[in-house]
Amino acid sequence: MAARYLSRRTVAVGVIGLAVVAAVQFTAAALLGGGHPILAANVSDFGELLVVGAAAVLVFLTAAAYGRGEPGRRQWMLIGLGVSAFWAGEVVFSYYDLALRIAPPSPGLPDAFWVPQYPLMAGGLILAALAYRAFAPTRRSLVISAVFTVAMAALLWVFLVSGLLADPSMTAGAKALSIFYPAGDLLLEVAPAVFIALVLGSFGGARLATPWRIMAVGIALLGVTDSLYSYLTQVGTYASGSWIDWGWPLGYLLIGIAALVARDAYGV
Amino acid sequence: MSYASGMVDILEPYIGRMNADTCVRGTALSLGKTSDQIGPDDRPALEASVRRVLAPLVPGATLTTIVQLMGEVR
Repeated sequence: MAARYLSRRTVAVGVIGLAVVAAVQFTAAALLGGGHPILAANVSDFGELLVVGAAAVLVFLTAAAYGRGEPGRRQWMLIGLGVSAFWAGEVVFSYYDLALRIAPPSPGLPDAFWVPQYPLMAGGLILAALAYRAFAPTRRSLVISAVFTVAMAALLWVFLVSGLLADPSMTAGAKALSIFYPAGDLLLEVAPAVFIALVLGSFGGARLATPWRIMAVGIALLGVTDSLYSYLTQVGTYASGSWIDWGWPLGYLLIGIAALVARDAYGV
Repeated sequence: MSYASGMVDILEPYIGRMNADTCVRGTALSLGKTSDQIGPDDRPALEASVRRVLAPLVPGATLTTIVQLMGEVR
């Protein structure tokens, strides 16, 4: 029942998007394995820019389906701005990485775009969840997601923050950012995603719940991928081309698909 | 098929059976009736309820479509 209203356009974009993500990841991994790290970085960076950029456009198109001043427009605009902020940060990062062939400064210009992404995404998800409050007990969902958030914050402290604070080689700014990103991933991405998933519990397979469920999975995937990346980088076991690299493009692909599913669900 | 179940059938694909049923029953209760007692005369109240709960979720065009479908229930 849930899939009956999906358009061919949405299915086609989903299939093509998945093929693009897989082609980029496999090609980058093959180039890396073949001793071409710069080419691999080019493929990986351009592939990600393509997927993230497409996701931003699709989210803005869904926002545009609402009239000016309609309440539902705000949540889609915030998500679109969040995705765009990440895309802009990636453009700057890729410029340093591929054109200048130097590591971007940290804190640096890419962070000026990456940092705002978190409150924008969280704001979009929370506004969307609150829009459903006529149907669902948001207080109960809020309490459960708050408990989840506290548990995640404790894990974050044990596995990441305590180690970062004790690291004498990092500047205060670098430490603040290194703590902000994983904290933002869990508290401003995964936790709001859990909140909206709980709020939508009473909807069953109804079409108005599906877009935000897909959105929640996409944003949660980004948060989990970022957190794993932070942890593996800290313990020194992350390497480019690993399976974790699939998390970012798949997360943004899901965000784009959520926007398309919303247009199908609304019939616009 | 009762008028209320016709309304629930219109809303169900969008918000699920449970929410649709609650929406129609809640409107009936606000009118001092049960679901079985509401009819075409109560459509303005039902329409107002649906507009109130769905306006934050869907574009105006979608809401118009849903309200038009509700108008076809006899």
